[in-house]
Amino acid sequence: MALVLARRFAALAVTLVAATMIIFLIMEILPGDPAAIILGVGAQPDTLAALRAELGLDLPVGTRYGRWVLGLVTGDLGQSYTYSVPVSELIGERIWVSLPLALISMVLTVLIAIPAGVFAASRRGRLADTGVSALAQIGIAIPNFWFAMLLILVFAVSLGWAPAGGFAGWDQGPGSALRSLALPAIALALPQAAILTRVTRSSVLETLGEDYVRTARAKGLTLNAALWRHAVRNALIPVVTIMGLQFSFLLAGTIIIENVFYLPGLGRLLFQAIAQRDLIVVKDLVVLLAGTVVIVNFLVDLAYLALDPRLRQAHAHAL
Amino acid sequence: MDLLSVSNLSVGFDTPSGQIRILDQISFTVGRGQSVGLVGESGCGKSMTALAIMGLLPVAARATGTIKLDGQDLLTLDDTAMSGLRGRRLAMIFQEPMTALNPVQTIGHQVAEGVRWHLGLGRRAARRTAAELVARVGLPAGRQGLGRYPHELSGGQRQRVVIAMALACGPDILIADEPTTALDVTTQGQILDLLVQITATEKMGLLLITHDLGVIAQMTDRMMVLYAGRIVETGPTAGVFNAMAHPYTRGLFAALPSSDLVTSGPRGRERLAAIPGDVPAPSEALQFGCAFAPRCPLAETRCRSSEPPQIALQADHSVACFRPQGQT
Repeated sequence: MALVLARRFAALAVTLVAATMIIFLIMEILPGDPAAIILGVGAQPDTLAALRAELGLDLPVGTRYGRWVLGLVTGDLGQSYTYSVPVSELIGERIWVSLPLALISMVLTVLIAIPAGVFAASRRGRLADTGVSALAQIGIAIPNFWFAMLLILVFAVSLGWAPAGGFAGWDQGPGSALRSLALPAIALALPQAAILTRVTRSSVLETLGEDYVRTARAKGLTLNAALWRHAVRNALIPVVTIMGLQFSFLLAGTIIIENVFYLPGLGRLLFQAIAQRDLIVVKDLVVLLAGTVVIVNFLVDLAYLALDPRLRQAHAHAL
Repeated sequence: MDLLSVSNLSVGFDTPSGQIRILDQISFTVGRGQSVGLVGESGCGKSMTALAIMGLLPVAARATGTIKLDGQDLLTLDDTAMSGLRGRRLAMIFQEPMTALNPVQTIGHQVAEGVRWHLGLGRRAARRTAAELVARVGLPAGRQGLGRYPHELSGGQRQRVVIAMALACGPDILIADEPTTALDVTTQGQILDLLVQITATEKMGLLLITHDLGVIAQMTDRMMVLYAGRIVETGPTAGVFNAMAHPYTRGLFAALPSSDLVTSGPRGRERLAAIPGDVPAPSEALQFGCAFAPRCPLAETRCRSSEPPQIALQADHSVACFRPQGQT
């Protein structure tokens, strides 16, 4: 068990290092000199050279990569070219919008998808199953930015239950902050919940046909008890895999959704940084997002170990 | 009164092209402490008989007739009422111990589940009961034993766990569907011995389903031979072995590889016989006449046109055949 964990952890570290290398390399290859962007087209060559020296852009590639990674580890993410504040400060403010948004969406996704999928599977071929499957199909087909606008029209403009956009901030109390996040979270969660519902349904259908479910029924468990106690936990293994992948989609989704709802989050920061060629912010944000995805995948691996006792041993031999 | 009494049980599936019969009017009884064998090739309806008694037939299946447990007709009960009987009064052991256990739960948990469910025992009491059960089937019962997962056990050990689960609530009827088919030959004997010992001490009724006449001879008091959904021969095991009347029973016997039985059998040791042909698919069988006629070496015209009657040969031994063998 400890060996399995150590292996997973080593893989995590290697992936993170590789991610920083790839991101750094891509940003190197991209055309555009940050100093020229900051100073504008008409800048004098000596001013440019001075700024390049100040930003450390004249140093060899290896040194700059080393400094950047060292900065990432120590929490010094550099200075934003456009905002002229430390990037860590920019991220520090906005992460409290994006992280809760992603987590609430993930929780919503799971709360909708797992009961709906299990319910549909337990009534295979009946009206309820067809209904859930049809809704899931619609949920997958609807683009989330369009659904976001629909939500704004209905719940913000017509009913006035939630703000149409903007973020009240956590210092106003969690109530108003959560109200600002409600519609974006629903818009983000819907397509993911639809996908996860279908995955859950087919996975549960598969496990329901397993011999051990019949064994559980032979012990006297009712169909529902056999379903929840024996079929669902075994069915969760593929579901957790998909959830890990979906978390990356949720992060990507925040870029669009935060723009639709004018939320001051990381997605919106990334969008603006790209538009303004604030390359250091882009680089740091991409590392942060990549790191999140890698860590989520690590957590998914841990979830496998918790769900399936066979893996706790098998992988000690396999890897 | 017999503990379990099945009469005129038929099971069919509704399909777009009409009803397909899997079991046709089968009747038998299992008394307390009695061991009854049901023998036949794959696909002749043995497992369906077991599932019908357990009330676990596939949704599309229709069962008619009566299945009485202590006089109560199980076919009239709804699923909730049947759930109350399953595991408590009726228990079942399955053919595939490799897949019959939940891979993500410890064996202690799975053995304890039945008593927790039916008897409402708490976690600790259920665990104690599980430890006793596991010890009774010859497995280590300590924390180490109960905390193991199915993938850590061998096939024979898993089948012992399945037996422990079946015994959990002290059932009256134990149905064993090919309990040793998936096991090594050396393990088969141990599991059969365990079943004999347990059903004898608990005075359970045992319905043993197998394709192996050797197991039937060793384990049962009475036997039934099932072919294409019908009982073609039934009687006390010793009586049937002494005077096999149906050509199909004889065919099964001749196909036995076990040397000690074959030498004393009617065909001697000459060769390992096979019955030509296959069990007919349910959609093809049971139209006219005897279902075995197409494979029967003795079939005559009437065998193909009309159904053979049940003929009582002697004490409790009857056969459904126009040309019963070995009768003088």
